[in-house]
Amino acid sequence: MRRRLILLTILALAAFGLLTSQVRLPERRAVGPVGSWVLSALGPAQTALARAADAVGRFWRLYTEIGQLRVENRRLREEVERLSEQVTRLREQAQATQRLERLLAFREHLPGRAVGARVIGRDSTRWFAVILVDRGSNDGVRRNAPVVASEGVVGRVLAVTPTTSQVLLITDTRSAIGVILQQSREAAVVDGQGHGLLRLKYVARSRQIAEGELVVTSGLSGIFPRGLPVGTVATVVHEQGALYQEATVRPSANLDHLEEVLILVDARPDR
Amino acid sequence: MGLRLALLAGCLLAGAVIDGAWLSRLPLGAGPDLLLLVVLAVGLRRGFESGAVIGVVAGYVRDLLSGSPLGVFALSYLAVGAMAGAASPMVDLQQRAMPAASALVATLALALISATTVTVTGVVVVSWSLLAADSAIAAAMNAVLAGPVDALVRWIDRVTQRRYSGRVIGHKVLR
Repeated sequence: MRRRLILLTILALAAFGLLTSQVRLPERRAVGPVGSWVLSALGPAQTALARAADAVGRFWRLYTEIGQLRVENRRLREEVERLSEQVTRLREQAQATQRLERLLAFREHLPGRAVGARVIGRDSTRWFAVILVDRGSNDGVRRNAPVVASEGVVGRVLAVTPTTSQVLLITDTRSAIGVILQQSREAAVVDGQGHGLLRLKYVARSRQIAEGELVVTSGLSGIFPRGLPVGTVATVVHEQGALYQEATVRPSANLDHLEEVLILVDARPDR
Repeated sequence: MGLRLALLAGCLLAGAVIDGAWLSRLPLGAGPDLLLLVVLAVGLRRGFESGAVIGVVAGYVRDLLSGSPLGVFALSYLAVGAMAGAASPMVDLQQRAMPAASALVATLALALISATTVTVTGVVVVSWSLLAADSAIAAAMNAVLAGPVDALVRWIDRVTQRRYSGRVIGHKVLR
């Protein structure tokens, strides 16, 4: 017990001496030769461990950053998808607005009352060029009412229900329209071929038909008002011995991509 | 004897370096104290003198490395090492939870003693609430690491084949 007390006293005095010795030193803290030796010996080890810890810390930060980046990336992808959908929807709306504006502008020049209709169906066999629109007899649509788009004639109403109508396109083989060539003022008939082009018939051989010449309705068929664009002459066909010359006509309206049309509910052909 | 001293010194220095380089980076406000655990294990296994000596050496090393005024931790670790050695006859280290429980008590004692020392010497103004929170964290981590450190000290004993005839170590008389 006595030995312990002596040891404890010596050690405590040593520590206390260390503590108080610094107060007397001008720089307040001097580690002395032993302390310098210990610090010198431990310095490289501590440096190495600190570097290792730094490396581990960097790796860990990188790892956590990768995790955060994954989350961020997923969030941004979702945002991009959402914005893409929004852009697509807005672009769709903008295009629809442009089409409707053109349709409305075209409507200003049309005789009588016209109702706008949206194309809601199309013959899936493509044997018949018929579309279905969302306007019917409830809206004043009647059979044989002319149907137009902003670019020109589309066709005529084939059948009517209270809420929908079937429209026979001018490209259908059952379709025939009285037309005149805008430049030569030659009257003719345009009928459907069952595909994208029309056939211009009954033009006297003596008349010159120019490719690109506009073909408009003549108003003589009893259905279409006069002066509506039907199409432009694509190619002129000269057959040996034929009484008339013929031509192929490209429809003015893009009949394969119709989305909105106007139905002239009280058009009078003679106007 | 020489080998044992060298191994214990190596443990102390390694503990000090690891404390300073690694454990001080833990983002908890406080970290485990390997030096204290070595002092505690030696004190509990070797008794008063060994505890006191290794305590003052460990405190001195910590003073050197931490940049604190020399002697603050030397005095504090000396007190803890001496207390651990004095308590060793009453501590049964065969019980599994004993190193962790001892570490809890020793950590709190060290915090109290070192805070008293710096307060008395006027080195710093101690925030006791902060000290309590930091000490609780350090005590919990020390309790976790006390077992492995105690096993290391026991291994050093076994390697150096040191036998203390008739000395009481944790209620056990080795011979």
